[in-house]
Amino acid sequence: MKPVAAWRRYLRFWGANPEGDVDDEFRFHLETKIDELRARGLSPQESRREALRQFGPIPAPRAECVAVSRSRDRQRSRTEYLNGWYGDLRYAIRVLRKAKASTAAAILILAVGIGATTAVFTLLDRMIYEPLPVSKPAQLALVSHWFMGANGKRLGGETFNYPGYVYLRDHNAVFSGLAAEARLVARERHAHEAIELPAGATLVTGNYFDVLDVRPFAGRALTPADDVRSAASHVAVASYRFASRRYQQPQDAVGKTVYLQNIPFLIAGVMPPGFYGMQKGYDSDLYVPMGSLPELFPALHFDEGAYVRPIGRLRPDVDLTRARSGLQVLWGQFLAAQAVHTTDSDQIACENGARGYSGTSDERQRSLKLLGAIVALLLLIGCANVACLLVARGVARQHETAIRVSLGASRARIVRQSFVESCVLALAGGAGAFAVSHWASRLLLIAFHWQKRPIEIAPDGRVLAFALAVSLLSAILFGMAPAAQLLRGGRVPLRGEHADVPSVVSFSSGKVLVGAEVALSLILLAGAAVFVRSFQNLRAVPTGFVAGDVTVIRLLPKTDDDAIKPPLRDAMTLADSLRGAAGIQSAALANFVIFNDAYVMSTVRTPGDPKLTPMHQLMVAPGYWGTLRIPLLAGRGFAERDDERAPRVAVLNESLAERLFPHQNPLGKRILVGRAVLEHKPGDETEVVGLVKDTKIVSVASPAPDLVYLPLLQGETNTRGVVLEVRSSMDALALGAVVRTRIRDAHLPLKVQSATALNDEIGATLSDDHIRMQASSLFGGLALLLIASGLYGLMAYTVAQRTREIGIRTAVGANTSSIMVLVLRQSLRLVAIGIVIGIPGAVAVMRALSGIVFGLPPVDFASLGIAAALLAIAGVAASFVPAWRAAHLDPMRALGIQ
Amino acid sequence: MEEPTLDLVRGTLDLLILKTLTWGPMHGYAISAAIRRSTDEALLVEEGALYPALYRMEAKGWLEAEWGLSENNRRAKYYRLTPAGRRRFHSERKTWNAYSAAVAKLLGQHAAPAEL
Repeated sequence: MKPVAAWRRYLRFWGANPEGDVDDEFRFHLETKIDELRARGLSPQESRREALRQFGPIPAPRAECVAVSRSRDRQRSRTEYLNGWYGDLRYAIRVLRKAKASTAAAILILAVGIGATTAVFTLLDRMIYEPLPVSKPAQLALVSHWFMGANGKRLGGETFNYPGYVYLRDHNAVFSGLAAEARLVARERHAHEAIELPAGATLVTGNYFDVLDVRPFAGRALTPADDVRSAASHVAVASYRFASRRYQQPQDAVGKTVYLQNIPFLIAGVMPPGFYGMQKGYDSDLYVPMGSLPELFPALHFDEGAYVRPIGRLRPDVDLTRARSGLQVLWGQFLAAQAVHTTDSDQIACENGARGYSGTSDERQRSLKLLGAIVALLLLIGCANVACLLVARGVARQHETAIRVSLGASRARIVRQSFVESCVLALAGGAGAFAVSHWASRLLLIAFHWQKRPIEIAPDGRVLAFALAVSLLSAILFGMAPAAQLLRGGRVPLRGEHADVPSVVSFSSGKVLVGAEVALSLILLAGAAVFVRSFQNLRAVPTGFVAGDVTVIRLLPKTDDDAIKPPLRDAMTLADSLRGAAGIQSAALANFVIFNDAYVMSTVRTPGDPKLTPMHQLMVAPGYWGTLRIPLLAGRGFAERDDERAPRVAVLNESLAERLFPHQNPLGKRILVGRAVLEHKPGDETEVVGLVKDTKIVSVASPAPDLVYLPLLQGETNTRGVVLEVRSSMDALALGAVVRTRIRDAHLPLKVQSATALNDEIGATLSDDHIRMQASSLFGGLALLLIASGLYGLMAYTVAQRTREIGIRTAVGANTSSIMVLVLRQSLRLVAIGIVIGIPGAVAVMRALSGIVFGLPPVDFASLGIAAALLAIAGVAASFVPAWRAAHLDPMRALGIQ
Repeated sequence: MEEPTLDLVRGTLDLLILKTLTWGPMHGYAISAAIRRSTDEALLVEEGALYPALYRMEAKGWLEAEWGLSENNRRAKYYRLTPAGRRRFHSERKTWNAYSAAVAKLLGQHAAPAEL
């Protein structure tokens, strides 16, 4: 026995790999050296000592060797790990390329689904969600005020009068700055100069750009000093978009002059690209200081009315709640100091201003969000479909998986491989989605009539991140089924080539997926049916007038002068000249178009009663009711003699007459309208001379409002133009041309602003309903296509699986039709199960939609029935070909396969 | 030991190891013995310093190592040049020759050059 050497004891302290390896190597070195030295005749002790001396100190080189081999091992395992992923990726691409048809189908489905979702997200982001492109947008707050109206609704709005804003700006301790912009647009106009694409200017306070913290791209921004109108010229700041559109280089704009309402403005600076102010979906061409407002809008009184909406930047230590309560106190003080008579419940509201003001109405926002839900549902259906495709393919690969498992692949590796495949598919779909999204967002812009608005649909970082996230989420969703299938397949023992593939397992996951698809489609189709039926109801609802064959022509005075009164007399001359012309049955004038136009709401009362009755008011010329075919129930319509000098007269609709004079004959009764409601002299009373049937005038969905008709020549029209309504056999385009010719021939100082069919004007008020109907039908149709293809694949597979059974059935005398029924019944049973599963979801969705659909019960069974019927038809259509194939199998060959 | 000297030795050591292994696979002891012999025991101060050099060169891919049985029937780690190591040896040798020639020339001069 050799004694244990000192260095050995020394070495034994350290454990195995890689230390052990180093130790072994050192030990070998030393032992060999000792042997050699002893062979030269040295004593064992001397040999050992000499060997250690020659070797030198051990710990330092040992530590270094261990460190080197450690880091090498780490690097090698990392490389192996990455190589594993790389291998998976290459394998996935190879597998996907091998099954070209199903890969292409999956990518197409995903591209459409992800693309549509991304397109809707793009618009939602641009119009609602995206933060303003300014620094630290989260600090911004939108300030507004409101009071509780008698009807329990919030009244008021976002705008303040200017002195109120100034008081809040100068006294608050919650904002580092409070800016405001006016809800007015000054138009570019220069006498005797035709301007292509005239600019629009927003009026802002001088501290606007300071508060938003935006630095100019060129020149200077506005400053608080600009609020005070000096003798110097008016100044303006241009948006980057306007400066690039109007001038060769955007920076060239600085120093140029633009004319707003004929007043010269010197452009002092250009804002940076991307800055669009506070309102989404708009991009003001110019920003001019509030100090220029009196000259731009001489008719407005700066101190009266509500014109500006403030936006503040919160101090770092102040939150919205504290800001609101601080401003509430100030606002109370201001109202008290002004001795303004308001309701005592005037409330300040302070909202997060990071997103600025939304670019569209609440109704449009609802449509957009609804669309988002629809496309998300479609994407879900698409994912189920893709999962089906992958499962069907996975069946063919069970053998391969079994081999991989038997060769030692871990379950984790098999699942990873499957997910890598799913991710590759999803990312390929996501790449295709960019093309789809580009076109889909253009379509959306057209559907929403936003083509001309400065909405950037090119994808930015947020949209890209969204698309990527949706792609990966889809990969996880549709990747689960094939991964689970592979795992189960891994447990199946390896079989010989002629063994039956264990079809039960894979077929059941296919059934589950198709059932889920049917359930989701039922929800989508039921929603679509609800929107289609709602739209039909809206179009079928009686309006009280006959809109067909009526063309609406908006007439404007020929000059640009704002001060001029509407050209009533000239329009009347025009209307007279049209009456009796070829093809024209009648013509009449009004101050507003009913539907799709502004309207006037006011109050009316009877002389003896102080109670005010709210009503709509429309000013019309003789012949109006005849042209629209609104029945006159009693009394007379207006006549030529009801002009400025004649006694005031009015025509009421039935509802208003009943409200003012219940169960009485309204003819000859006196009412007070307009200014006379508040203070009236004896001559101000208006006599009711006629009674007409109720008509809808603003919205098809809401009931006919109380309505007073007044003669066009008696009183203020509140418009610059006048509306000519013509019943004729011509379409709007032809009639517009006729009217233009008449105007030219008669040298009338008028111009035609627009000529449209009245039905189109009504249709325009239903545009959101129309969009919802179209979008839900379109996507419902796509869902049906997906369902049909999913079912087709599944049934074709089933028939292939049951070839032997069907062959036997045929051989023992089953006829063609009984076998077709066999297959069809299986497919329809699946559809029926899916429908039953989908019903609760569809009912819930219908309930949620009941607030925005018209003339349908909260749960519309007809819509549900339509959806179910469509799915059943799709089910039969999709399984017909496989069923036919099954029925015409040659039994000998079917059995010969085995 | 001073750092510059160590660096010099280390660089030289790499070259010597590469040169030694051009004769064929060897274990660490044989390499050290071969270097000792072929340099007349002039360069290798401590045999322990050989091993970190071997490990580093292996990590760089110049050498390949494999455990095997030695002539005295012990488990030993054998090192072999890889193609990369062979290329390295040729380029190192060229550099070294140029360098040593330059140094020799400089040291052989009696007067300092006029301009540098």
